[in-house]
Amino acid sequence: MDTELISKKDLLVQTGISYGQLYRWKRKGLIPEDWFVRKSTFTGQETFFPRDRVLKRIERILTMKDEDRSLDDIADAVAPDLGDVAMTAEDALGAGLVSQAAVDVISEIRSAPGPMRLGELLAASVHDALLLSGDASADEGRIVVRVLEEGYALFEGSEADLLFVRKMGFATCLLVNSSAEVVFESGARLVSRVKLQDHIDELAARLGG
Amino acid sequence: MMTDAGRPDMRITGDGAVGAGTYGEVTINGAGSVSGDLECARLQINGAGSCKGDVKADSIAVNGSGSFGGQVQAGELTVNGEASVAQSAGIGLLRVKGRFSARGGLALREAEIKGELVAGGDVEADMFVAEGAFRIEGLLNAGTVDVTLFGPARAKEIGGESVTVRYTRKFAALQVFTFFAEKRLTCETIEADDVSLEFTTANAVRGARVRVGEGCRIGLVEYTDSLSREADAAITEERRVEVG
Repeated sequence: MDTELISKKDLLVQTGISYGQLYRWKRKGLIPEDWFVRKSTFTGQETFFPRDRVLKRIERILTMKDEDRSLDDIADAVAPDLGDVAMTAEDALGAGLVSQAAVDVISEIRSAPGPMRLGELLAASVHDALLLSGDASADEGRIVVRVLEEGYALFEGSEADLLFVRKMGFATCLLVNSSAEVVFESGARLVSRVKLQDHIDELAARLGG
Repeated sequence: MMTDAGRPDMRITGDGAVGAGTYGEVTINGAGSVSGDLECARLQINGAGSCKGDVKADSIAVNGSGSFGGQVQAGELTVNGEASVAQSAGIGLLRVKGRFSARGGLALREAEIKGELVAGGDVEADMFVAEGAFRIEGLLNAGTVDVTLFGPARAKEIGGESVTVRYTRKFAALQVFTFFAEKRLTCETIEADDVSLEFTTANAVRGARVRVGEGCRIGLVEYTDSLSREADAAITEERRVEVG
């Protein structure tokens, strides 16, 4: 379940960026605090990063820099403040962010009509991914949306994963901190562990344009 | 008197307390306190002032002593004397003559410290210029770090574009340090493109162009472009490493 990590030194060698750039990007919020993972090694404490994500992020920053865009501009694009996102279901459908099925489930669950906010867009995105991969049925999709609607806000400021578990035909799901190790009894099967941050990053990329 | 779209000004002369609220200009001459969250255009403390809650202001000036019980958010904070923040602070321009401490982290654009700075968390700034001493429990991350040592300086880590540490034989004009305090920077790692050090103790220094000057004791130096060292600088291990 461990994401593959890359050390700071290897990261610099591989991307050709300097310490100065890395620290500046951290300061400007281009690389999230959460991605700086401190680990003890035999040479003392060292910093590691989730390999695929940080490489993808740096590539994106470098491309945008080549386009001569300012750091603030890049920050808005790679790490937009999604807290105040609000779009109508029609707009979200039109932009291809969510499926009709997801919109239906959400409108069924929520108490009042109104624009879709980040939690709901995220719930819809995860719902669609699980249905598309065949991991969850339409009925099971409902519980996914429900747990995200209710629980996602509790993880503000840290990264969370959604675990989708099945046992003898019965399905349930739960949210855990991304760094959490989870052990199941042998009768239960972990169908899918969804990194919510991946979905948020994707939403951010598509909303940030 | 009213300024700023009808937000009232508030003035304490002698001794008194102001309630929480939104004001234009708040002036404390003597001793005064604000009993809760304060939002104002300008807060001026001449004497001793304390704010129990969070403070949000365009500018804050402390002449004497100020203590803040919550978070501080200010475009500008000038301290002549002493100020302490019980939580974290976000400040555009921080100017300190004397002492400033925050129990949490500091997000700054520019810092000009003459005296002493203490932070319980990370300190971030585009420009960090300090003449004096500091104790930073976390990472000091700044575009430019420029330190002139008048006393002991300590940070867990330092990272940025350019890091310069200078030793001076002068004595501090401000008597904030004991006469015998050692003028030395101590930290675990320093990582920056350009590093120039004097009287610094560090486990590891990594950078492109590194100068290890007088009085330094460095465990490992890793550099990509150049390394220069003075005769009495102690380096346990040095390595030239490649870039991408």
